[in-house]
Amino acid sequence: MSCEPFEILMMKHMDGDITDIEYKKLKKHIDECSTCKNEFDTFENICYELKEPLIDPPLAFETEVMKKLENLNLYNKKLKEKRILAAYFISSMLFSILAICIAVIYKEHVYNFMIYINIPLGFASNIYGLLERIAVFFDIASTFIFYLNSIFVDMLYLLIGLVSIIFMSKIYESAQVAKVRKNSKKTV
Amino acid sequence: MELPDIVLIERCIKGESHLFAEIVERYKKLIYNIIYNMINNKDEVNDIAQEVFIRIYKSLSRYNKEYKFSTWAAKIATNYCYDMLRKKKFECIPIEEVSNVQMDNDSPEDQYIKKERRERINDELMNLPEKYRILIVLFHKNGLSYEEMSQVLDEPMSIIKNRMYRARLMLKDKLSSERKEGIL
Ligand SMILES: [Zn+2]
Repeated sequence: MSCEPFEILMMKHMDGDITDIEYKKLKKHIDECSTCKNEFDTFENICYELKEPLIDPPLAFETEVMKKLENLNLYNKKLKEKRILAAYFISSMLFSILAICIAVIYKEHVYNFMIYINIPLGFASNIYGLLERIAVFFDIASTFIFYLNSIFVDMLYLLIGLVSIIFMSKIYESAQVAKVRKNSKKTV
Repeated sequence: MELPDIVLIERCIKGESHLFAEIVERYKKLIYNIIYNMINNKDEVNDIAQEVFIRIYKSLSRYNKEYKFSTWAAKIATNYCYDMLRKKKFECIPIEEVSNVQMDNDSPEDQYIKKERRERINDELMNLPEKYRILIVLFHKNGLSYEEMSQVLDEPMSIIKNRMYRARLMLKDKLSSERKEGIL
């Protein structure tokens, strides 16, 4: 008699879905066939031993995972915080430069306003003096640039070109970095 | 009161990441044992298991409710193991002490024989090709069903059944050749 059907029954037995009738058939065959008896015993051993103890993860397992996660989150948060800080710094710089420019242009108005809201005269005139000096500085700077411009027109164009190239490459780079970051987030 | 997995997951995604500890608690044994039986180098098992949970955390938003969470997590663990095995073939470090010697009233010799037998079976399991080994690990060690295995491995049930048949025969053949040599 071929033994193959009984091998299939043994598989069903291991899967746990053998019927009573099939099991009786299998048992009967095993009693008569030593090859299948050996096979059956080996399978029984295998199943028994495999079912034995599952390994217990170390006690601190969750804590360690959560610690790692926390570090990860912390890192992300820090990165975000840094970026926000940088943006804040740059925008406040720009704002104060703009404010100084406006104050220089309208220095008479600023002075009058200060007098109007009863700021001590000394202090107000100090501020006025400062604004005037900044105005003079702007004047000198602009004439200097104008003067340079007339001499080194070509140089200036070269400079502008260089600066714009550097600027553009920076923008490209940061775009690339952003893309890579996005991708790495996706693959993770 | 125990929250169902899906509630925990949704709250984790919304920012209550501390709740992930509960998910780790529920599934660590499954994940740990899959990895333990797939990776030869036992020193790395703990790190890999932690890495797998971090991967699970990062992919939480992509969890598909059609799967049981255990199935989905087992899938991530299995893929991670495959990646690791592909990257570097771990040098075979023999399985140390599959301990827990809680064998009833056996004589010392019997205990020794049983321990020996278990080690042989686990060694041979480790020597099976990965795609056969994973089936034995998932079904016999971790008690997954055929349907779950077919989801974990992304293969149709017929292929899984066929492969399991072959995996068991391979394991049996290796062990019965040893039996002839008097080891088992
Ligand atoms: Zn037979």
